[in-house]
Amino acid sequence: MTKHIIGTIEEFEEGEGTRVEVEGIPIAVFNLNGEFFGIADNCPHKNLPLHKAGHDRYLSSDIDPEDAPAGIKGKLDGEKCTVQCPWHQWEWDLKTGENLRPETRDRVPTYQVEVDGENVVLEL
Amino acid sequence: MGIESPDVIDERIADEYIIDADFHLQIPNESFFPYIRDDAIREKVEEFGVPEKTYSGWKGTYASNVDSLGNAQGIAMNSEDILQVRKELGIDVTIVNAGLKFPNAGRYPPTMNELTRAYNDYVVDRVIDAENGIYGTLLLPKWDVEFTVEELDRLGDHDGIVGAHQWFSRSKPFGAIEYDPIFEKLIEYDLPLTLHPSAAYTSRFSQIGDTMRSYVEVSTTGMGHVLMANVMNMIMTGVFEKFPDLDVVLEEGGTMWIPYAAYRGDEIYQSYPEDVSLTERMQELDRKYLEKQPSECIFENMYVTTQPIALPKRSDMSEAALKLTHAEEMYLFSSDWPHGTVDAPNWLFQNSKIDDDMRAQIAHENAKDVYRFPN
Repeated sequence: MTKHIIGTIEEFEEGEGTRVEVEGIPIAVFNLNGEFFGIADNCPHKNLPLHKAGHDRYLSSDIDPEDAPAGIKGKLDGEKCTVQCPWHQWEWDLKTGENLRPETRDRVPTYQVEVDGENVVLEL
Repeated sequence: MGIESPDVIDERIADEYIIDADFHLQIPNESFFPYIRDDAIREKVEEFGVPEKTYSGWKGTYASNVDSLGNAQGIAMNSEDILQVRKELGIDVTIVNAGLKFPNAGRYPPTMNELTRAYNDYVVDRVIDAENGIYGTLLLPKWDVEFTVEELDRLGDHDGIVGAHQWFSRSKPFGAIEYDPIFEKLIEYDLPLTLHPSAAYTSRFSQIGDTMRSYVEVSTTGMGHVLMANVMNMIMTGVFEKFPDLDVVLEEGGTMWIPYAAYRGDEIYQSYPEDVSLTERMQELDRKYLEKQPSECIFENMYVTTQPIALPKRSDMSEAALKLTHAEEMYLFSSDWPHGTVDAPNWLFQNSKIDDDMRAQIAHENAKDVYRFPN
C-alpha cells in the first residue's frame, strides 16, 4: 500500500464528489461531514462516473432559484456511508463497494482516504 | 495524480460527431404561456393552470426513491442552457423534443391547440439555434388534423425544424386514415414523423393495465406493446403503400422489438393476408395485398432512437442483437436528457462489436439521412 496526497481538505467540497486520478485510476472522493471516502469513479451499470454525485442539477438561468425544484444528482448519505449514482440511481456502499440491493452482484472498488493535517491522503 | 474535472465523461466521445435525437425540453408549462395568442385562453391558464389530463401516467419515482425522474439531470430552457448541459456528453447536435409534462391529453382541444402553437413558437424563439447545432421537432396537435396541417404549413419549412413530433400512447394509433393529410404534409416538407412514448403509455382502462403493479411491468411492456401496435397498425393499414417516402422515428421504445415485429409480422402476413384489403386505405388504393412486406416497411421506413439501449452483456449475443435490430441502418443515438433514464454515448465506444463504421452510422450518419437538416 502506498499513501498518496490527493489534495488539501478545502479542495474537497463537503457533500459532493470530486474526481482524482491516482496512478492512472480515476477515483471519486467524497467528503461527508469531514469523513472521506474513495470509490472507483465508475458505476458498472453504464460505466458512468460517480464523482458527480451530490452536485446540483443544472438549473436554467430562466428559473428563479426560489421557484426551482431544488435538488442534487445522486444522494449521499453520511450515516449509511452510501452514494447514489448521479445517472441512474444505483446505490453503493462507500466502505465495502457493495450495491445496496442484494440481488445485484456488482461491486465497485473502494479506497481508504484519511486526513493528515491539512492534506487528504489516499491509500492505494 | 491530482484533482481533475474532465469536460466530457469519456474523452473518446469528444472525437466523434454525435447527434442526439431525443433531448427533452422538460420545462414548466408557464414558460410558453406568453406565446398564447388567444387572450381568454391565456388568462385562463395563467390563473388556473392547464386543464387536467383525462388520464395520467405512472410514477417512476415510487420505484426508484428519487424525487424527480423527469428533471433528474436538471432543467434546460433555452439554447444557452442546451449548449452548456450537452458538453459533458460530448454532443455536437441536439434535436429537441417536447417534455413529457406537455398537456397533450387535456380536455379542451382549442386550448390544447393554443398551447401547442405557443410551445412551437417558444421553441422557434428560444431554443432553436441552427448555427450551434440545436434543432427542434414541431409538436403536432394530432387530435385536430386540420390544425396540425396548419401548423405544418406555418412552421414546417423553418430551417431549425427537422422533424415532427407526437406521442404513441393509448390513443388512436397512427394507421388511422384521418391522419393522411398529416402524412402528405410531412412528405411535402420532407420531415420524419417522430413518435415518443407518452407518460400514459400503459393499457389503462383494461384488466391488464389496471392490474399492473410495478413500474418494471409497465415500463418494459407498456412502451413496447404500444409502440408495436402503432408500427403494425401503420403497416397493415397501408400507410407505407400510400406514402412510401414517409419516415418514422420510433423513440425510447427500445430496439429488441424490431426482429419480432419484422419476422413475426412477415410470417403471419403470409398466412393471414386476406383482411388487409378491407382496411380503408387499402380500399382507397384498390389494393388487395401489400407491395412491401412488414419487415421491409420496418427496415426501410423506420428508425429507432437508442435510449434505452439494452444490449446483452455477452459479446457474441450483443453482436447478434446489433445485426438482428439493423443497428447500422436504423439506430439513432439519443440521450433522453434530462430524464432519470439518461444515456451517454460512451456505450458506443465500450462495445467491442461496434466498429468505426457502425459507430458513425449510429452517432450521426443515420440522423443525417432521416432528419431534414439544412444544407
